[in-house]
Amino acid sequence: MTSSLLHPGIILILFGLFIPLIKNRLIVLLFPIASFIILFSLDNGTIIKLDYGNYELILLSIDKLSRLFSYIFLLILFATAIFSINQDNKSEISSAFVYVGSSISVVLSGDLITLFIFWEIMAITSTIVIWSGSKQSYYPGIRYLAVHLLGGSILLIGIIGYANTTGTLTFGLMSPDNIFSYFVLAGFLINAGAPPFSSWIPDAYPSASWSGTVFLSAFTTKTAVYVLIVGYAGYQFLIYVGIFMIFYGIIFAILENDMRRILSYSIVNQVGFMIVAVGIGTEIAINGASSHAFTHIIYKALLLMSAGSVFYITGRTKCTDLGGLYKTMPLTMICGIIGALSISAFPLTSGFISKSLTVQATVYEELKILWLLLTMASAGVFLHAGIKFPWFVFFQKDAKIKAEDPPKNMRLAMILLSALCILIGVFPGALYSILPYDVKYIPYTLDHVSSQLQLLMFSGLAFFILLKYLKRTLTITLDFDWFWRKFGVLVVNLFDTYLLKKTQTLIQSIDNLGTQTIRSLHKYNGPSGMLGRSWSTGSMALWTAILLGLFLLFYLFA
Amino acid sequence: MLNSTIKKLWISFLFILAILFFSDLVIHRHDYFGVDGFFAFPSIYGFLSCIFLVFVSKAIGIFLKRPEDYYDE
Repeated sequence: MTSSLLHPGIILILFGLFIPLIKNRLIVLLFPIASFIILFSLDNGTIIKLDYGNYELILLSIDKLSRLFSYIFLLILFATAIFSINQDNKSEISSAFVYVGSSISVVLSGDLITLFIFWEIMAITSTIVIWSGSKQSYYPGIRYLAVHLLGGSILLIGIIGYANTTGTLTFGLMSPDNIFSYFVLAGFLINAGAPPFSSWIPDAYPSASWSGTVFLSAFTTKTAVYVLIVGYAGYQFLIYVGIFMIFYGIIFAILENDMRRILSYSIVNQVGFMIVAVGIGTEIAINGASSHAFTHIIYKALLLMSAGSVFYITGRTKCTDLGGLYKTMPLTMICGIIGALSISAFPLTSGFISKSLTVQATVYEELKILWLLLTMASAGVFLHAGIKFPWFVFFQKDAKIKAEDPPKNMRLAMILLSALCILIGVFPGALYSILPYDVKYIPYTLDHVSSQLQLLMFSGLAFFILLKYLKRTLTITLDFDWFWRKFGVLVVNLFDTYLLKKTQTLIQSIDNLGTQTIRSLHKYNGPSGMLGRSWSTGSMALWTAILLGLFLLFYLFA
Repeated sequence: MLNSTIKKLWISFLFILAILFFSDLVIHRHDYFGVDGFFAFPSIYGFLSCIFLVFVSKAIGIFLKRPEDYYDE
């Protein structure tokens, strides 16, 4: 039983807290390995339980799906820990480890209370990762935290209501008849970057440091995908949410100038694909969502490492300031292109063998419109991330920037992830064998490969033909957050000036009234007032004599 | 890059595009919904999709684009 007290997530949280004390950063690399060994040695099933009043808390419960997500979380933590060895900000690394530890704990939790606790630790520690970026990260961090605390509160309302009405805290497929299921769903969707709260991703992630953004890209949204798979597979409403996110991501990324924001919009786009798959909910669709999450975490981290290296070396992030780096940063360029090909689902890369499962699911369910939309979106992914990112950063024009490839550890991390993108793409069997359901699908057929190549290469042609329309400008694009960043401020200011004026006149009139009263009181009762002043003894005696005299006269004549 | 290199890259790119476009003559693609059985459907659909998406985003950009310092704090 002693070995079963080891929890792969909690142990990572504890390790993370000690990171500020560790001098040799290579030791940090051992933590994900230790957590992996613990997880690997545990069998599937419920392992750690606690009694909590009438309820049972399940701290550690493993199945195929949670194992898949935990493995990929650990893998990417390991790669990013290598990438960030030269990141001197220890609070970032430390909070990143606690953040990842709590993500794994969410995935491995079996009840809603445990899930909620680690969900909130994730929100707080990821905010610290954002704040570790620079002075400019303060406000994006506050906005990020506000959105997540709002999501957390909605989630908590849902959990309490659900537990009260159903009498159970166990986390599994949520009952569609219970109103509180939808509160929980809303809480989950906010973390997934669903509308109207998509903007926290492109707002907050790019304001973290060159390594912080890589840490952030993998965990919050993908933990949300995991809980959606468990709780809401087959909820058709999610298909619409996902489609919105897919096209929102593409359109906003096309308009964006900052390379890390482009890649953040593309996170929303990719999570949209996964949420569509969760909404379809069939076995192949769930395999699609989970394998897509797995491969997406790798290639998105790779893309952000490539962008992070450019930022680390040149200090620039805007497409308008970049270009021509293929000469000076060749390795960063090659790794970036491998990531870009993977996200576009080129044959022989990891994206091809994972996203195809979701697209195939629409074929099996005979969802023609959805298939057409997803195919259009696949072309759009190549357009907004697959070509746009490498083209504007590494080619485009010669921006005459002095640069070189980043330090050894950063190069190593990028090579590791590039190799994984290709290996998974070439040998899909390994990933397919750890998916939640059996895979009968064969991605490499002649017609599938030729269709995909046609789709992507002609998207490439469209990109170069439309290049002058895609030229970047020094602009940002308004989003739903306008409502709380600008409109909200306007409303507050309006209230401020209007109400303030009203209150001021009110206070003034109360003040006037008070002064008047006191003045008149003062006039008659003050030290010199008629009724208040002190009189001399002589006049007192005189007045008393007069009064007594009057009294006597009155008595005599009455 | 040299202009001659760019020219060579364009020529090879167009050559690949031509091969892919006409690969439908030799490769029998499964059609699931009818419309996708159309000759070189992925090529045409991919190309038109991208043009459509770029113009939609341009149109949206007219209303939603703002200077970078719009939200200065």
